[in-house]
Amino acid sequence: MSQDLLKIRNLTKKFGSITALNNVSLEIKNNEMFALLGPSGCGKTTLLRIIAGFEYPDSGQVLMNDSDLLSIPTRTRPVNLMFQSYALFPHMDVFSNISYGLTNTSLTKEEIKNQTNEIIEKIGLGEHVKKKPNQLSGGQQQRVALARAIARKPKILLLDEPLSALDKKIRQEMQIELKRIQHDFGITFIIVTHDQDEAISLANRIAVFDKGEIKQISTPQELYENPTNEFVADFIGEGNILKATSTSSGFEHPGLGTVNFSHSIGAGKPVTVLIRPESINLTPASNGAGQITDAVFAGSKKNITVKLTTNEIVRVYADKSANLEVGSHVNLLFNPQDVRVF
Amino acid sequence: MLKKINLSAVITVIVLIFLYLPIMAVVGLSFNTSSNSLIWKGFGFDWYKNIWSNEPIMSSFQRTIFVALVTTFFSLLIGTTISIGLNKMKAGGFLRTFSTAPAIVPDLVLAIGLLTTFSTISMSLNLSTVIISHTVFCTAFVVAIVLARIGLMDPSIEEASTDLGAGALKTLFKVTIPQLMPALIAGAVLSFTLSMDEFVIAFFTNGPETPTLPMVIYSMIRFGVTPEINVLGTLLLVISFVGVIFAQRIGKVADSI
Ligand SMILES: Nc1ncnc2c1ncn2[C@@H]1O[C@H](COP(=O)(O)OP(=O)(O)OP(=O)(O)O)[C@@H](O)[C@H]1O
Ligand SMILES: [Mg+2]
Repeated sequence: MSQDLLKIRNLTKKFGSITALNNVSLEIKNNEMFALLGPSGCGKTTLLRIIAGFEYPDSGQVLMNDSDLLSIPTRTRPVNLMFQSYALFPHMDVFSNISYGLTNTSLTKEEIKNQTNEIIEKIGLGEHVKKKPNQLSGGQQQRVALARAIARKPKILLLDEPLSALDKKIRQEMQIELKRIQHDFGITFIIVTHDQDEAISLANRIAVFDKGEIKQISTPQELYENPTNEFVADFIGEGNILKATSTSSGFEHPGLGTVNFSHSIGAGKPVTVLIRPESINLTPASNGAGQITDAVFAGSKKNITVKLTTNEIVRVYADKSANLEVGSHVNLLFNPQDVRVF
Repeated sequence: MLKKINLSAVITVIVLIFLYLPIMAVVGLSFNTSSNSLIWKGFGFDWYKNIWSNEPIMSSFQRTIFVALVTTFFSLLIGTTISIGLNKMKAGGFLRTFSTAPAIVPDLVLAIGLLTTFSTISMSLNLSTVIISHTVFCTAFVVAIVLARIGLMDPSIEEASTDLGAGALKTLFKVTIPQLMPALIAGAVLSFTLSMDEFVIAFFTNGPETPTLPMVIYSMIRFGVTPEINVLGTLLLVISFVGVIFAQRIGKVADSI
């Protein structure tokens, strides 16, 4: 048996003329916190719904521990879904909501009660067992939805934008909570989000989606440091993306000049260059490559906007004490190692 | 100084008087002890006592309640099934309108159509044909009410039930129906009260041996408004009122859960 818990192979799903998923393949390891990240409408929910059993793909395979998952009926799949809308049962109290999944097993009443109480304890809902969902705050509802989905101890818990309905402060608390709960229960999480910060702070690995296709699968750090294409470079973190032409030993940009850089793209091709704002140093120079158009104090640093002679805009994080005035001319210095070219 | 008279307020008051005065007259005159309902003799419950021993009225009253109860049961069953089906099918406007149309088709047209149908298949006319006929239009009202409620339901809630291992029947009874409860109660009360005082369709589709209360009242009224009629009118009014208030109470309770 391989160590991959879930294998998704060449999955394609169309809704009429819309291709929600296009030939998607990925592997998810046991006990992983895996994030599906991408802009709205890119097919994240569709992928979760296929794994949960609410949609069926047009082609492709989903294997769990190397056996076919798609042939298992929705209600018996060892997978549970936490819905984007929470979908709590409005007429049942917190206890009945959480124990609902267990009542569909062969457990005795006593066992159901004990297991439910144990989960309520672990997720911190003790004071609310008798309340109905509409008597709970958003954060509490979110916890009930999580507890309900985890109660059957699925092999994989699918979470569709679990934190998007919460305000920022509770969202950050819940990120920590989610990690703790995932660790406590020892369950693999697949978490959908369109928020890159959330994906980066939560996940072990991230699959970046765009228009139904996977653009890159990697650890958060790798995605930030070594994006393999322009979409990922732009989507993850702040970045300056410039259009340049490759040379045999680097690239040439009309505003920045020639930068030496080893690559395997070949000479004379149009390339996209990524330089992160923190990789650039600015030095005043009256005949510099750019002019500062904006300088905003942002706590520990200064956010500087530089306009190149090519009219392209480059953002730079500078030291807060740096003596950089709006209107002054500067040169842009960076280590070619910090530059990515595609 | 001339006080300004608000015309719309005046019209409202006149309309309200016009609406409620006849009803109040019926209720008031039902307590008249005179045998001529238009001459006030004194206040008393004489006619309420009398009516219990009036065999034709009492048996038609029982028939009416029986028809209303059975009609309510089948309208609720069929109407809810249709609503859930239409919702699952994501049916469009045509099918929806089609399912609720009997509620707005003129009674007379529906009555003639049903009578034609019954005689074509040579069904003898009795209470069962009345029940079938009442179920036709009451079902349409139930569909209209339940469909509106179903539309407000988050479809993920049923999916969550499946995801958590429940079968289709458990999902229906433990998740879907409890959420539809306010609509089901409203539909039941509406069906009951609509059936109870329905005259035109019952007149066409009933046999001569088993008249319902509205039919008996109609035959009595040809000899003038008797005190019994005022009493029956008041009783029907009370039953409808109690039904509506009951439905609102339960509806509120069901909505808050
Ligand atoms: N049942 C459906 N019928 C028709 N089209 C659908 C259906 N479900 C999804 N789609 C389409 O498929 C595409 C992907 O939808 P999906 O819900 O998977 O996106 P998403 O990544 O979850 O977006 P969001 O971040 O907005 O939730 C969208 O264009 C959507 O309109
Ligand atoms: Mg989605």
